[in-house]
Amino acid sequence: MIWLILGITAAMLFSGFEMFLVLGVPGYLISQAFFAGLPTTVLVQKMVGGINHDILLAIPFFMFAAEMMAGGRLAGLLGRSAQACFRRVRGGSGYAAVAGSMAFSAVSGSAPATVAALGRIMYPPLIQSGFSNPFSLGLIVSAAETALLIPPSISLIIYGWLTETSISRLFAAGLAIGVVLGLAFAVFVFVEVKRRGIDAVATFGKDAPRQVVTGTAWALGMPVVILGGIYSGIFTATEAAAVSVVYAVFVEGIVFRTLSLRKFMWIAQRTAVMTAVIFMLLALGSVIAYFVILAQLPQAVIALLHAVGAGPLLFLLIVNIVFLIAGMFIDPGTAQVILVPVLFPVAVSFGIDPVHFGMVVGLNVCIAMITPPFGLDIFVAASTLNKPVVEIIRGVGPFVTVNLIVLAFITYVPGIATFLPKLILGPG
Amino acid sequence: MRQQIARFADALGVFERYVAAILMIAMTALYALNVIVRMILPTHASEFAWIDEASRYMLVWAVFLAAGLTLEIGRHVSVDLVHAHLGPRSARVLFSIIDVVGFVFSVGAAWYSLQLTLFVAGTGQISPTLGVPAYILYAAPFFGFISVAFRYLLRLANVRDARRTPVQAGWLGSGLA
Repeated sequence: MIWLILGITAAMLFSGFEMFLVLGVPGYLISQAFFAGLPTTVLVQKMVGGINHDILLAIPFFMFAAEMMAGGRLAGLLGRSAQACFRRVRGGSGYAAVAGSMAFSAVSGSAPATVAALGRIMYPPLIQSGFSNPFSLGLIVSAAETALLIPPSISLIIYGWLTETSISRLFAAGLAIGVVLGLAFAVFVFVEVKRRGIDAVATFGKDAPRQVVTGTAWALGMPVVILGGIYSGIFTATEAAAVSVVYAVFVEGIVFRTLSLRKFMWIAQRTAVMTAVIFMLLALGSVIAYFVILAQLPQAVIALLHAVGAGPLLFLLIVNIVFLIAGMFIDPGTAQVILVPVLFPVAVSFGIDPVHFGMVVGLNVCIAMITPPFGLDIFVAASTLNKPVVEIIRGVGPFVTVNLIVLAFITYVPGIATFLPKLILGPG
Repeated sequence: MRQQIARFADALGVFERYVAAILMIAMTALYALNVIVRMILPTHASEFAWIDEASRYMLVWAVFLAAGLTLEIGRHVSVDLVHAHLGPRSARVLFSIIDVVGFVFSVGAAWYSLQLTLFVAGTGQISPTLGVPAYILYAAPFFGFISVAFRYLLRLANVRDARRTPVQAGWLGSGLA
């Protein structure tokens, strides 16, 4: 019976059913096949309960703020100031693409939003300074991943909610890992500059206008408000998110005057749609997670792993492989909602630090964003840069390798993930 | 008839997105207000304890208000890679199957949501800090799934289908995120 349900799920997934149906229909079938005594209204209760949580409020708040900044003047100013910083460096446009994405990551928690906001500013200078087309596309798509790690990060909020891990600890660890990932990309740019003999010093940003400098200062106020507020204990992550919206309205509306009332309403409407997309997955995923716990699936996995004598190292390898494969075919949000409830208790039973495990999952979510055939960033880049999907997929390949190297380090050197949270917040 | 249905869908969409947007703005403002009150008037902070619950109720309602509209404009996540490789006939068959399954599921989910709403209303349960009837929370998926079911019908009847004609609208902007 369970195989029939899994078969139906796979068929629905690959024939392009809406993902909330791919979660919801099997959820209902499982309840009928295995838990017939359960009143069906419990499913509705679990669904609503799955999204009725104050930690999750941070997600729409952060998306709201990021939409305002992406649609206003800040994103462009950040990109241009990153370019100005590296204008005297050989192949500076490459480093600027990484730095600009990382800077915007401190404002936005979504990788697709970062690609959409910065792609068009970053792409032409890359080509002009002699980077190949596939490399440039791959770099833009991959550098945006840092948005999923550097706070505010939507995927880390989801992980924190699924596992009841402290969001401030996850954010601190995400900051460290995001910087490590960004540096890895910068090294890769350096190698490419040497290999291709790129000596073009940028033709852009000859003089950094005052406007760019002040714009950047305003943009960097955002992470100061968010991180400063959280780590000084003034407010929770969710409150920081709400305050970040007020800050975004202030900067785009009053300082830059790019935000009309009409535009504000449109952005609020877009945010509602983006929220519905994520929260329908969270709502229906909660039903599946409920059955995962009822069926004691994690315990079965633990027993199986102990039976074959697997230790934490092998378990983490399996986690990475499972996420890599899942990330190719389903969106990262769904992958987390389905896999984390099963795998997290197993990780805990092996004595793996929840924050460390969160970074392993977080980096896997990043990779899922750029792995074909279903990598969300690839499609967003294709549409914002108006390039064929195939071309971007070709460019992304080497960056996936860079990601996997970083993932190996993060997985087997827990200190990289746990160092910063312990430094800021003390041993947990 | 088709035109009237399309006009109704338009009106419903406008209603849903404006109300959802106002809820978004309201919950953000309330939450930020909560922080400000606590910083300026810490002794009065407990009087604003209802804000947390109110925001969560608004979030749940905003999600289900926007769910149907999100389907109409084709923004729900789906792995639709095969769709580009289908002939027009097989695409029509597959699309219809998806729409029928989606419609039946949504009607079912709406039905169970209604049952839960009526049950909770029957118990007279009141929310802990906000003091409103608790069934308001479960009425959200009831509304949401009715709206989603309606959008599946629109697609099935080929009145609105974002898979065939992608939606362009000012309020959606140019970004895909």
